Amino acid sequence: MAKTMDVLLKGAGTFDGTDVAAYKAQGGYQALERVLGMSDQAVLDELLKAELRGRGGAAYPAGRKWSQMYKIPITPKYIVCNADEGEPGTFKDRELLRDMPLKVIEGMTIAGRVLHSARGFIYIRGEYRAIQRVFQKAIDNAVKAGYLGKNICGVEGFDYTITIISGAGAYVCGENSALLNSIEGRAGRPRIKPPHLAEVGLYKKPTLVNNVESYADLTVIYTQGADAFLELGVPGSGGTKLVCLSGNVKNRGVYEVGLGKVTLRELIFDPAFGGGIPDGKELSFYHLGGQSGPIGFPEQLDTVYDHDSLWDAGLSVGSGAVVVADGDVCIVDYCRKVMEFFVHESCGKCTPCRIGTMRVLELLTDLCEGRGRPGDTDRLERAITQISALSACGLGQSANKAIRSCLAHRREDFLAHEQGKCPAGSCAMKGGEGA
Amino acid sequence: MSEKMIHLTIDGVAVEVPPETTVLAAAEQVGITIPTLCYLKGLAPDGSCRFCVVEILGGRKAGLFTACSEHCAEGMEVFTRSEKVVEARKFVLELLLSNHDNNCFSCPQNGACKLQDYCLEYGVMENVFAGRRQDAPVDDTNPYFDYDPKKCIMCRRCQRTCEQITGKNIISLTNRGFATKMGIPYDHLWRSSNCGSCGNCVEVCPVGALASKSNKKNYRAWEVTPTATTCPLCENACAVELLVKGGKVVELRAAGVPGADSLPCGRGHYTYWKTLDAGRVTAPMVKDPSTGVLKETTWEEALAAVAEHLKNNAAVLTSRSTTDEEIACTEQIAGAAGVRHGVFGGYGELLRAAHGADALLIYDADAASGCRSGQNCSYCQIYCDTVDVSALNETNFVAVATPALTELTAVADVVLPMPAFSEKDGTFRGKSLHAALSAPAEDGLAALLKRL
Ligand SMILES: Cc1cc2nc3c(=O)[nH]c(=O)nc-3n(C[C@H](O)[C@H](O)[C@H](O)COP(=O)(O)O)c2cc1C
Ligand code: SF4
Ligand code: SF4
Ligand code: SF4
Ligand code: FES
Repeated sequence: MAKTMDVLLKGAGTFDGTDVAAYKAQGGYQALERVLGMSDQAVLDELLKAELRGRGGAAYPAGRKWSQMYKIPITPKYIVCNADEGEPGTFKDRELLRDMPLKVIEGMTIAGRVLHSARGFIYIRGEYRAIQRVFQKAIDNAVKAGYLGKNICGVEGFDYTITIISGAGAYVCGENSALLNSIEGRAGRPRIKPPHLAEVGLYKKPTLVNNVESYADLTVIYTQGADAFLELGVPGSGGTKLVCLSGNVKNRGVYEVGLGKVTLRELIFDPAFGGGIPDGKELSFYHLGGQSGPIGFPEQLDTVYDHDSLWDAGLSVGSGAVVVADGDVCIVDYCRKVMEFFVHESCGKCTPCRIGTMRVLELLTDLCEGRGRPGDTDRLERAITQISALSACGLGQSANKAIRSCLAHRREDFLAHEQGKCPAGSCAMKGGEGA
Repeated sequence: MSEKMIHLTIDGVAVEVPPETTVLAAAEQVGITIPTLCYLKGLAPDGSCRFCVVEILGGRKAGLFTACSEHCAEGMEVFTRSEKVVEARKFVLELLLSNHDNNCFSCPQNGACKLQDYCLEYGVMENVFAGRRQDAPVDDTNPYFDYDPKKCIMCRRCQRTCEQITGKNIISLTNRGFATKMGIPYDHLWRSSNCGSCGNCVEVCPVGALASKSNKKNYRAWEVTPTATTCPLCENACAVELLVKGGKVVELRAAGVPGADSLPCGRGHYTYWKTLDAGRVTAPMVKDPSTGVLKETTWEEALAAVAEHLKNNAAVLTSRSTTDEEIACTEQIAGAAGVRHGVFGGYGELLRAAHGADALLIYDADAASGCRSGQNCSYCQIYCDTVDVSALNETNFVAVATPALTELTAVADVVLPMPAFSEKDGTFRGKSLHAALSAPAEDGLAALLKRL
């Protein structure tokens, strides 16, 4: 029943994605041409109606973000594409950037047109060096074909350029204000808001930041219309979503699904998707949306994969990552590894994240190495609750999510570790090795 | 008032503010104090310590928000001391304390430390997290203050002050996460930076991470008595406080927040208020004609010698860095003697003003600090007067009114004692000076004026 969709990635890999003629043969640039015939307001209304939620992780409604930005009377405005793709287990923007660069360029150009910006930036993670070259070639080709540069599509005064900025490996630079600081050549630490980026963004000017996949989705919305886009998904979650399956699952890779059209069980076990757990092992848990997302357990497998249904189950789409773990993994030890990530990636600016994540890591390490004390589970819960409530940016605010899910569903595992026992028998305490 | 006003309540008190007012400012308006660590009046909020959190209900969002950065919104209900708020603030203090060298006894800031005060207020009395701590040696290479990274809470008040107030941008955060460090970038020592030793970073440090050497060695907060006065060193006329312990000034600090209220320079902060132990002039002196060495004498002999020479082509020259009253006194002396009067800044100006005079009465008002010519310690970048004044030996007669012996008194025939900056009452640029100490001798210029 469950099936993969072929909308966003339609034709991906079957043609040269940097070639404008080939892209147009696949239906490319129809969206931009349609937008050129519409009023700004009609374009904004269509986006609102499509119920596109940001694909970078926070799932903020794109239509709302654009409408707020449109109202700000300050010029110039900047359009930024977040291609930092730093969330572990996330590798779907890579597909678009590599195979469909012109689609991303077209989406960004639509944003430039509607929000009256002549300047786009795309911040591509440093590890995607080869893809940066591909993307630059696509930009150059679009310029040659008159789809970037001056008087685009022959429209007087429609000027727009895109510049690639390379990231340098910091996860926190995916946070939109840290990303803008990084483009400006400052230390990649998040800014305090207010002021919001829609008013005071890049070089203190109004700035739109959206994810790669969000920009690509625009081409679907303006080619097929908002109604068709909404129908690909469900109310509240329009469109398709690129899901990245990895970990202990048979068929790892990127899958396109209609939001609200598949369950987590289908995603992990259906032969059209993950195909189940290899080597005849049992599913232990799955981590959604990268390290900053929640963890799901077998008892939640029937949850439908869309923003609202997952949210109601205490889960979330996030970046679209689904990392599957089989029976041998100790949940406490896994939480420790997640916390190691946040300790390593914290920018160090604010107290709860800079010191708090370290304290949580120390607590989890004690639990995993047989130094747990009665009450540690409560201490852990208090610390992660405060850290998420107090941190200045999304990094610290979501560092708690994985642990929170585990405490809600597998609290007994933590309590066992307080007593020096590991139910999975796999953490450092039992295995005698590791941290 | 064309702006639309915003209405909210803070701890049940109704408040009306213009748009873009922070919750912190709105609370202040109705007399509610919200505790802060990284916030600094006059600078954009940093939002890094997270200690100023308040609970917000109503309006568009709900939860904990930092009062220093959050803007008021219509219909907000703010609670500054709810259980949730107190729990969160306690957690922040526990974290800071867990990464802080809690050796309060040996800390210069003991008794004047924001972290200590708040821990007491919120009942955080011990370190609840045993774990890793930041560790790096004290940098004591600045001549006037030390930096102890083990005490730093990363509030960036020093960095933002140095960047946005003094415009120097010497210190900054480096590394990231738990390894984040405040200091001179690339692990350099203070000595090798371009720091001008203005001391304003030291002023704003809420804990003992940046502390003056004098603070460390000479006093603790509860031992000193402050006297509010005005620094007469330059046109800025900084509002300052002199801290006195045991009959000696031990520190000068800005009155209020650096930048917002006053911004003393390095010379003001660290040298100008000093009164030398050795070399202080406590009685009139004359040069022994046979040995050429200054020796103490009677007021009568000294004043008579000066009065005798102040005529015809003589001049009375006074340092600009003193009270209006003292300058007026020198003008009256010049008037009574019928000679010309002049004002000078450094010794270079003094030499130009002295040119052609047969006899001189010089008031060297800022000589007491001992931070003068020749001491050019090369890296503090504090103003150093290195002009050689030995040319004044050519003048027939030189009288110097001064609080201290300097290279200028080396060319003097007569020396009259004067009070130092910390010993003066008076007016400067419309602001008041108040003596923190009494002068060790009578005022030489006042005595001279009476004699004339
Ligand atoms: C620590 C952190 C890392 C992030 N990393 C990314 C990223 O790699 N890519 C991305 O698109 N969004 C990332 N985000 C989310 C962005 O801040 C921002 O919400 C997003 O780019 C907005 O685009 P969207 O609305 O289209 O999703 C990150 C957020 C945080 C707090
Ligand atoms: S939450 Fe973490 S990453 Fe975000 S500003 Fe604070 S220290 Fe930096
Ligand atoms: S003393 Fe002045 S110049 Fe030096 S670091 Fe501090 S604020 Fe900057
Ligand atoms: S040295 Fe002082 S002012 Fe500077 S960051 Fe550390 S605690 Fe704050
Ligand atoms: S005083 Fe508001 S965050 Fe520090």
